[in-house]
Amino acid sequence: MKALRLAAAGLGHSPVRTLLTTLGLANAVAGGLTFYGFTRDTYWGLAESFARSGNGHVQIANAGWFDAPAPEQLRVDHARLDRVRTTLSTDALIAPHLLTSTVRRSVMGMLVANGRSAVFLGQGTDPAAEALLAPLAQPVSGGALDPAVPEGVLLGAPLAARLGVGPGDTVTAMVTTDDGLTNAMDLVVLGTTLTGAVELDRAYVSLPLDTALKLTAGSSADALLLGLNDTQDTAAVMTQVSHVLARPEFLGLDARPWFERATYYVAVRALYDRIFGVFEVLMVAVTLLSLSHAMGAVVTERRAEIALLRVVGLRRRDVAAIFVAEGTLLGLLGCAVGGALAVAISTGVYLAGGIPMPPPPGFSVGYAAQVRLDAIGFAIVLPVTFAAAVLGSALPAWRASGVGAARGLMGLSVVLLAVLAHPVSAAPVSALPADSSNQRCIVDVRIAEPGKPPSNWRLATHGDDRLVVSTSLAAGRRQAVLEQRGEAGGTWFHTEAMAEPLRIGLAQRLLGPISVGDVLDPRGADGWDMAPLDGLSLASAHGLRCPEARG
Amino acid sequence: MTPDRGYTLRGVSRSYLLDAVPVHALHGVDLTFDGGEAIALMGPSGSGKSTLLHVAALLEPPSSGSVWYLGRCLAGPGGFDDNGRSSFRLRRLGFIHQTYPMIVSLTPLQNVMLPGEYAGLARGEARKRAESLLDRVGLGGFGDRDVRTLSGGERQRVAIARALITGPVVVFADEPTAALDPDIGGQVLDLLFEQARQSGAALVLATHDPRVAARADRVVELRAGRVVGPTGPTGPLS
Repeated sequence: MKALRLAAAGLGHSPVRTLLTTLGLANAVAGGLTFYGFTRDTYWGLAESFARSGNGHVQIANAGWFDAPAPEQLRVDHARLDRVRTTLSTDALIAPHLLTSTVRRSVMGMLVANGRSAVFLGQGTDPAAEALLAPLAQPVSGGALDPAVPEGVLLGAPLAARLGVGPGDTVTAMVTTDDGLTNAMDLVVLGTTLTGAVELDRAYVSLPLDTALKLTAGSSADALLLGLNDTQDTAAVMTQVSHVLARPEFLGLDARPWFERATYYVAVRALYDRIFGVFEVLMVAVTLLSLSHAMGAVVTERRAEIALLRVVGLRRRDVAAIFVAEGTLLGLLGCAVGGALAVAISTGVYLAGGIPMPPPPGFSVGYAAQVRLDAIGFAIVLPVTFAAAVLGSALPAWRASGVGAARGLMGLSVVLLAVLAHPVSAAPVSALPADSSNQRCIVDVRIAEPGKPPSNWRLATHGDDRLVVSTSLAAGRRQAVLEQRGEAGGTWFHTEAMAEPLRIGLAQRLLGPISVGDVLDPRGADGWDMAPLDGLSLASAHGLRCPEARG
Repeated sequence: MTPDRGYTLRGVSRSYLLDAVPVHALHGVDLTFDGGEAIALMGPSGSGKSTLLHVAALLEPPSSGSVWYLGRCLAGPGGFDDNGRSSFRLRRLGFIHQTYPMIVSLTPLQNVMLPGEYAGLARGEARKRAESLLDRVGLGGFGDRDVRTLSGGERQRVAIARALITGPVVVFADEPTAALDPDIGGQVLDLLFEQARQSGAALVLATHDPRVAARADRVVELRAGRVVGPTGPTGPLS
């Protein structure tokens, strides 16, 4: 609780950064949920379009018919399927879910009209059931199948156009009967339709089951199709259907749910699930990076506070817990805001009537996509984002806890280095540390030793307690270790090029740490001259005021 | 022999590498701080005052030697690990730094409460003690202010209250008035000495200022990391 309170105070103290970090997380959450909702709507749309365009939710046929390379050889007597139909329609567990059912018989042959011919693929069906079974089939012209007109058929619109016929016209169907003979029959076009599947519409014919059986001079049918009120009930109905088909009188029959027949649905779902998985990984990466970055900045900013916490006596894990708590709170905030944002997007899309989408490949009709959010989506996206937020704060938190108390405090007041044990002339010269992130004040100066040309130097108070003096603007910058001489105090620096070391003291007090606003004073060395570069003005007659931190 | 008196540094040395150059900041320091006394550490910059404070306050481990309290080794061979030193620091030591750092997201009252709460005080008890301490340092009405609006002197008073909330046995102060103007610094010193005496804690100050040192019961002078001799009423243990 203490860590949470401190974390909350820390977040409240930096409202802009908290807001930006929260929005970043919320964006990831909303993006994840929206994409999830879009995929769910796509799945739903594909499922509905398959099940409600004449395929039904459950199909019952001879065992082996579904997977046979020549299924026509495995048809079943339609009277047997009718008995199954009757049984299922009166089953107490199935009937409430059952919207409609029909026995189907496929017919292939040739249609002839106006001196033109075309191959057709006919579906013999119950005219009364068909409207309910295929509500998504788009009527183009004319009417639906009519039980009172046994010879009446519907043609796919492209097929009708190819034959040059329309409602009221007559076409001649020629087929091969189940006995291998040729049969022909005149049929009346009641209307034209689009199933949504482009290739199917070019050969599609819907006709009454009795007419199909008459054309084929047979009594066998392909399958019994069940249309349900709600696609989500498919699994439950399938279970009960399986129980019914296990009865002795129905042995040899098999049932398949729509999703085992919808190869396009399965393929799209596999594709989208993979894309969603990649998106989730990206979302986690974005969350991790943004949290790590934000918390890393917090750690850098609060180095002094962290040192103070350690000085006071907090253990490493106590300090780490504060920063993990901040990540936790940010994660919670981000999830809450992102979840709300996703709901708002979903509602907005719904109120706008959906996002117009072009027809999927192989389909002739587009659709309006929605963002379909559900509990599973929240259960996936929110915990993942939250966990990423907590993880993203863990590394900076551990870094924070590693800030040494003493060294952190020294960073508060960059103390000039004193190396008493070594003479000035032995001061080592080495490369300037690459990390200058802790530099607190930087001033570039031109220093002239009496009798020598001036050279440019950079003075920088460095986070690890040194005043670093280095050549400025030159590759291979050099650093001179500062030393103290005698008891009079003052800081000296010396390089190999200098005949005499230069003392840099503080104008306003003899000793103490250099910090922003201090005046660096080179007066300790007679004859030396130090002038600022970069247009900095002299703060006094003798010194340079250390400017605000930069770099 | 195990030191069983007060807060004791026994043969403490501290060395570290700076750019591969060994720096010997402390050499075999022996010191004892007794409850209620004020000790001033003096010496030029680089003489090891701050390092001595840091080692004594368990902020840095000694390179050799040890730190003891009432017969218990706190740091050095057989001493606490980092967690143990932190816990002891939290409950039994106070530290006041010259730059009076604060948790700026907390109010002065919360800053004072913080060590108390982490030391195990109930929230209500920590608040009560913090309010009492803020009263004692003259900041009774400042508990809910934004710490950024406090002056340097006020912040240092908050730091004093924070250092005292857990009832420390030693309060360490590293040039506590160096960043304050002389008048305010004098007031803060008065307060620091008074509060340390009231609480019965030993007060150990690092300072350059002879006027500050003059107020101490004992002055310990450091040169090049060594205790070179007493200049006050009592000297360092030898």
